[in-house]
Amino acid sequence: MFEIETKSLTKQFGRLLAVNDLSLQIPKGTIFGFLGPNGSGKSTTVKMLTGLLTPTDGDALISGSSILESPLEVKKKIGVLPEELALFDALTIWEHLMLSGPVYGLSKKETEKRAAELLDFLDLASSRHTYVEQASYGMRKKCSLAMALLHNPSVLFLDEPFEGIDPVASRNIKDLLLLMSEKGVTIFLTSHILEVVERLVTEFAIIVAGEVVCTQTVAETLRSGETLEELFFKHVVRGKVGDLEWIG
Amino acid sequence: MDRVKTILGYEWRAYWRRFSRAGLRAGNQGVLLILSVYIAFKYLQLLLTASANVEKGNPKLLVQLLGAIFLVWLFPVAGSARQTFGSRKWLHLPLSLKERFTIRALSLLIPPSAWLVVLGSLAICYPLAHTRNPVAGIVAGLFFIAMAWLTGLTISHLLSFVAWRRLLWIAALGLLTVAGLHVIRRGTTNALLSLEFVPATLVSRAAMGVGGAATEWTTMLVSIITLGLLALAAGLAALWSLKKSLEVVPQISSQRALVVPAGVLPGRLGGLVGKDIRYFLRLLDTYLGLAAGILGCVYLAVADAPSAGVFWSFIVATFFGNAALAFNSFGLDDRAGLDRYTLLPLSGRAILLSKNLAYLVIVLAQILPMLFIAGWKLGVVTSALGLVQAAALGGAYLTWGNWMSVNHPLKMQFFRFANSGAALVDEMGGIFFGSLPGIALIFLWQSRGTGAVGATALIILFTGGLYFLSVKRFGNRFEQNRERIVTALS
Repeated sequence: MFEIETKSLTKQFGRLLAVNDLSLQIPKGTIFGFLGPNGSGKSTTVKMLTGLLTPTDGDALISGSSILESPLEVKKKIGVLPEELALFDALTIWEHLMLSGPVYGLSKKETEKRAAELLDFLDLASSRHTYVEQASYGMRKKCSLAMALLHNPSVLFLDEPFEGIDPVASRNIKDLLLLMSEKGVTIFLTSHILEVVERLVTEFAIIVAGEVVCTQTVAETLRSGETLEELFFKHVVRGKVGDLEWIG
Repeated sequence: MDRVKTILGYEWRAYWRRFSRAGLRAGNQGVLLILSVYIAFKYLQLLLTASANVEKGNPKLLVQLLGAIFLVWLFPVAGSARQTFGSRKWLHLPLSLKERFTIRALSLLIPPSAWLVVLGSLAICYPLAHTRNPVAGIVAGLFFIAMAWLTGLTISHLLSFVAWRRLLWIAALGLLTVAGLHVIRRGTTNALLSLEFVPATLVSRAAMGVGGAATEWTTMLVSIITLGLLALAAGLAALWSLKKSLEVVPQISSQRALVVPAGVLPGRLGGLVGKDIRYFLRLLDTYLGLAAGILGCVYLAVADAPSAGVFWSFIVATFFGNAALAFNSFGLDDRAGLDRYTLLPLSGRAILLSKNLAYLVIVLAQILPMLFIAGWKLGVVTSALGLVQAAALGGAYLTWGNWMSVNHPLKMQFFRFANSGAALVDEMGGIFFGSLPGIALIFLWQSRGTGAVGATALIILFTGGLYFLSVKRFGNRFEQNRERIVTALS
């Protein structure tokens, strides 16, 4: 059984087909990279898989539970670092964690213990009483990540986890993700930083204009003698700097 | 000037786009129009009476109308969004302070409600034109309107600062308490209207004049110059406060000392309830409820022989003051907050319940001192009946509120009054529906009929039943409508 399985997942906004007929099968313990340029459908896919958007068509199973039929079951099993972080402005970083733990069934004591450890690990301990609206982007991102990890989920969805994060925390997060993967947690991440993805993920897919154009393992890519970046630009067209004659 | 014009043009476009996103419900527009016409008609009647009175030398109604205009100017300003191009968010744009001030001041006039305030204010020129010194009266009146507008603007800027916010709230509550005491001592509500508001009196002095010709000229000139200086001072204060609010990052008071921190309240929903209590405390409407609660306490403590009926009426008034919290419980959330609600493994019912609990905590905190004082002055039974009445009112307000919160959400801003927008008629319906059980209980208990106990139980069961049905139905509806709610609030 696959830990994440999408079946013809489709999302349409008016005339725009954001994600078209997406079918993926991701085994347990995989670190799966979902790559693509801006507006290609990566975040829309994560939003559908985590319940933030309802698919126009198709379904997905997370740890065997359907996102359409058992959304609450799915939400109990997953941890999410969403694109827009989903934090409450008027709460402190610590309060976010204390709010989140009991909702997932953790006792207050256990929530406090885990929250303190996570904040130490993410170098947020000294800013725990900072209001989110006064925190830097990186701090907010770490707070959202800590919320995603607090209840020890079996599947983790991370939308651009390394964007806006300092190198130390970035390294810590990578180590943590590798450890979680070893312990059987399935990780689905999107990222623009191809070097990081290449070193971290075991499998990846490239999505362009809502369609998956390539799915393979990193081992297969390396065997073919290509880098991930070369493979990426095979599928993604980029603009030419020479066209901007008025610059400078 | 072109830059200001361009930016205001886009603000205008953005406002109407937001307005259409919030959803204009055609069914409401007719009722709204009838209401507006009725209010305009009553106002015109008052203006005609005021002009007839000033012709006879009686400026009392004119002064009262001017006082009302001053107060009304505080509402469009205090209810306006802070995210104009003049605000901190747009500091990177190459705009001077004067340009920012012009944008800030003029963007307040974009909503149609502000047009009504402007028209209503200018209409005061009609009675002023019927005074002995019409030109002086109108000039003084225009200075007065400018002062009211700029004072409102200053207050809206000062609300960005914790210290000023506290000071303004203390001043407002102090004024209310003094006014309440004044009313109770005089024994009539008309006493409140006899309180003199100096700038309004200055307008009437400029328009009416007093004494002989020489004295009249002096009074007129002194009044106009004083009002001009007051308007200038208000303008400078508005400019200074805008400059300060742009310089300093908007401050958030640590509400730890005042409120239970989010996460401390027990239970699975404790954190969410704590969060919503903090959000609701940042909405100015909450303090209307608090004011009603304080006035109730003052009445019970000071009156020689307080009446149970008046005590119960204050409980109704407290719920009325907090109506926006019940009717638009998602209004203070943004896209990020609503996303978090969706990510948490909670049903729509649980989320709605957490909002309702936060509302009840706030209202209970406001009426609890009143209940204690009532227990001391009027007896335990009367106080307990107040609690029963509060339960019925809570059930009714939340039933209507759950429907409105899910079906007609409207964006609200921290430290501003709730924006009624297109939902004004629904809100009025809700206030009627929500207050009805409370008022019915007052009549029931005052009549002391034989079936009072049974009828009370019936009302409680009815409102309680309706409330539980509303949580079930609109909790499910919240899950289905989430994306639409996000769009309406973003």
